[in-house]
Amino acid sequence: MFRYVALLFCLLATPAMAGGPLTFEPDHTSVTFQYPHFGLSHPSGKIMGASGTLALDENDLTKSTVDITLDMATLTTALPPFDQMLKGDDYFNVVKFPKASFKSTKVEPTGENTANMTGDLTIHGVTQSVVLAVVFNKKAFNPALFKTGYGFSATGHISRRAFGMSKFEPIVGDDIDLFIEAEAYP
Amino acid sequence: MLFKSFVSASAVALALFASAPSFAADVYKLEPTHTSVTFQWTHFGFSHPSGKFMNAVGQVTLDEANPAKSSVEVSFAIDGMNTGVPALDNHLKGPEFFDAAKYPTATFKSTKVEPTGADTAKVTGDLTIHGVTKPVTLTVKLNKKAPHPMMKKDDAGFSATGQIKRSDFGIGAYVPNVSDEIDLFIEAESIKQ
Repeated sequence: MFRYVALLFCLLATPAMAGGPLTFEPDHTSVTFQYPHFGLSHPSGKIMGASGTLALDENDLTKSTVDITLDMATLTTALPPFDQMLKGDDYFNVVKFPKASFKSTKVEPTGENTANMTGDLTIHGVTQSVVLAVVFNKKAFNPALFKTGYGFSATGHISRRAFGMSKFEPIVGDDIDLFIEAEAYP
Repeated sequence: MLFKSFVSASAVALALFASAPSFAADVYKLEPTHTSVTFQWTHFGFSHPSGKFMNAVGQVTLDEANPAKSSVEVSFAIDGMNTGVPALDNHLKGPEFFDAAKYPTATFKSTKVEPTGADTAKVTGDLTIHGVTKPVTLTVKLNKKAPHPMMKKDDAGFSATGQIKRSDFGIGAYVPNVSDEIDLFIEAESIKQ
């Protein structure tokens, strides 16, 4: 019973998207990076600790913007000694560059639920323009949070060399695939 | 789901299953720091969170003359699970999900290998998670077999995908908000013994 009352309350209390920007939910927003290891396998790591906003213009998607930072200290490959190496001087140098950020500069819809989002990606103190292929998964009421949620997946790829992290090329490949999952809430 | 498991249509990928330089099967020990199982689910349809196991213990037996006689046996410690969210790791390891204290390992033991191409195969096996054993079929690709650049021994690298229903393994909490279907993305390297 409580659930229905709460649901009704939230539906009434959450009018469309007239309000301010949405905030990324840090436990359900992640960037997974994957790279080729000598052609043998494709190891991966994940960065979380998202903080930032999505200003979603549902009437004119091209006017939507994303401004997000990730906490490099959260980097995990599930192998703690390897995490320390990636966070160290040879790679991300998280002491000196504790955050990665992405700030969109252009949104081009490519389909009913898809768009290409171009933006400035800053990692390791270097900023490069990157295009992400974004899929809008769902907008719905999230009964666990009692809020309307917006879910996205996105992919992209970058050259790690372009960000000043070329150690162990070419055994460890230069082309890094990015797999992004995100949820945002009012 | 979004993971790219079959990235390289590697021109270098040897026709392993076809070439037959030796008569005996070769044993390759799984390399714990380059072998992973990523499991991914759907969260209310909004996003696709994932977790990962590393530190595999096990071996691949490659029979190049008769690939159907190849096999794999591997186990993972549930305690090594990592989602990137420590609180979720603890929740997943707890009694509501994997119950790692009672069932500390997950294992996979192949029962059948069916070659489907020069470097691909369907590998069926018994997957045991949470004390429950079910047959699972994985789609496996041999990415490359080559001397490891540093270890100087033959390294066989694989990618594989599969799907399971977690409720089959008695881990059905929060279905369907948290999806029952779990996609598996496996990467493996193994060193010839």
